[in-house]
Amino acid sequence: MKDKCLRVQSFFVVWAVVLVVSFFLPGDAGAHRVNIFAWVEGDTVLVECKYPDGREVYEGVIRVLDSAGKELLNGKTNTKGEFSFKAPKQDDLTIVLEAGMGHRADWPLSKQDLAPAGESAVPSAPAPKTEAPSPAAKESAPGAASPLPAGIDQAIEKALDKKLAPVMRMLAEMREQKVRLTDVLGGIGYIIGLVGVAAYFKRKT
Amino acid sequence: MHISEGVLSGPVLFSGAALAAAGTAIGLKKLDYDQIAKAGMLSGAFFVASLIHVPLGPTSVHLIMNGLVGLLLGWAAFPAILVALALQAVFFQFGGITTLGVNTVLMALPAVLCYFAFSPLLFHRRPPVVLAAAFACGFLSVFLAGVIASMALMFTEENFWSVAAMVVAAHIPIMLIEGIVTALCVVFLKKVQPSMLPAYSRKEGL
Repeated sequence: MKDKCLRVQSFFVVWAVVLVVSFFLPGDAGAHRVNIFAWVEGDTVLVECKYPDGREVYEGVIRVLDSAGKELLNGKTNTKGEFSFKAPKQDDLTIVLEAGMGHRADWPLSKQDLAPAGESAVPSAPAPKTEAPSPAAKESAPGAASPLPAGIDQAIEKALDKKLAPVMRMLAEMREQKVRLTDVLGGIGYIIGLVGVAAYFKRKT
Repeated sequence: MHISEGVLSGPVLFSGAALAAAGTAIGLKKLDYDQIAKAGMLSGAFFVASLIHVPLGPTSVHLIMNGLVGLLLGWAAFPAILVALALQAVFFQFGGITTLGVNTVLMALPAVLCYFAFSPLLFHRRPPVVLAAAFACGFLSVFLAGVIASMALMFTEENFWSVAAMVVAAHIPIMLIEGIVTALCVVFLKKVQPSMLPAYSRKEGL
C-alpha cells in the first residue's frame, strides 16, 4: 500500500516537473489567440500580427473596414506577419485579422491617426485652404495654418515617423499578452476552490 | 481549437450555450461526492494541458486531453471542461466568454461520447484491446471536436467540407499524440490506481 502511494506520488511529481519545464521552453506556439497592432507612418498603415508566443502570423487574412462596416480592401500578411496599405480614405477604420480556424482579432484606427502629414496637426484648418487654388495662395496658405513653412512641417513629420518607428514596435511587443506563471497558478487555485465548493454542497449529511 | 469571439453568429453561440448548460446540469447531477476530487484534478489537467506544446515541423501543437477527461469522468467532463475553459478564457484569453458554450460543447461532447464507446473496453482480457480503446478514445475525441468546430464555423465560413478538412488535417498530429498520451495514462492508472478508471467497479462485480 505504501509502495503504491509512493508510485502515485512520483507520477504527480514527474508531471509537475514536465509542466514547469514545458512552461519555460522557448519558441512554443499556441495557435489560440492572435495579436494585432497597427500604426501609421506617413500615409501608410503598417500592421503587425503575432501569436501570443511571438510567432508571426503567416498568410493571415487582413480586412480593412470603414466606420460603416464596409470592406475597403483586404490582403494577406507576409512571412514576417506584416501587412501595409495606403489608407484608402479618411475615416475611422477597423483592421480585422483572420488567422483561420476561428482565430480573429481587430484593431481600431481613428480618423485623427490617419490624417496625412501636411494637414494632420489641424484637421479643420485645411478646409478653407483648398478653396484657394491659385499657385501664389498655395505657397502661403500652409504657413498661415501653422507657424512653420510647409516644407519644414513635413520634414518634421517624416523625421518623427522615422524616430518613432522603433518605439511603436516596442509598444507592439509590449501589447502582446503572453501566458504568465501567475495566471496558471491562479487558475489552478480557482479549480481547487471550486472542488471545495462542490464538496461542500455534495457532502453526505 | 478554441473559437475566438466575434467569429460565430448569434444563433450558433446561443445553441452552443444551451447545449453546454444542459450537459453541465447532467454532469453536476451525476457527479457524486467521491468523484469531486477526481473531477477537480482532471479539470486542472485540462486547464494546463493547453500550455504544453509539442513542436512539429514549422509550427507546434498543444495537448487538449479532452479524451482522457471524458474517459475518467463521463458526464462530469462537462462541468470540468467548462470550468477549465472559462479560466483559460479569463487568464489566457484563449477562446472567449461569449464562445464559452460552443467551446465547451466541442470539447466535452466528444469526451462523453468516447466515454460511452470505450470505457467498457478498459478491463478487457486482452491488453492490445485495452491499448487500442484508449488510443481511439484520445484520437477520436479530438477528431470529433474538429468536426463539431467545423459545424459551428460552417455558418460563417460557409463550406463545411473545406473547413472540416482543414481543421481535421491541422489536428492529425495532435490526434495521434493524444491517442498515445491517453493510452499511456490508462496503462499507468491500471497498474497504479485502477479505481480511478470508470469500469473498475463493474469489473469487481464480475
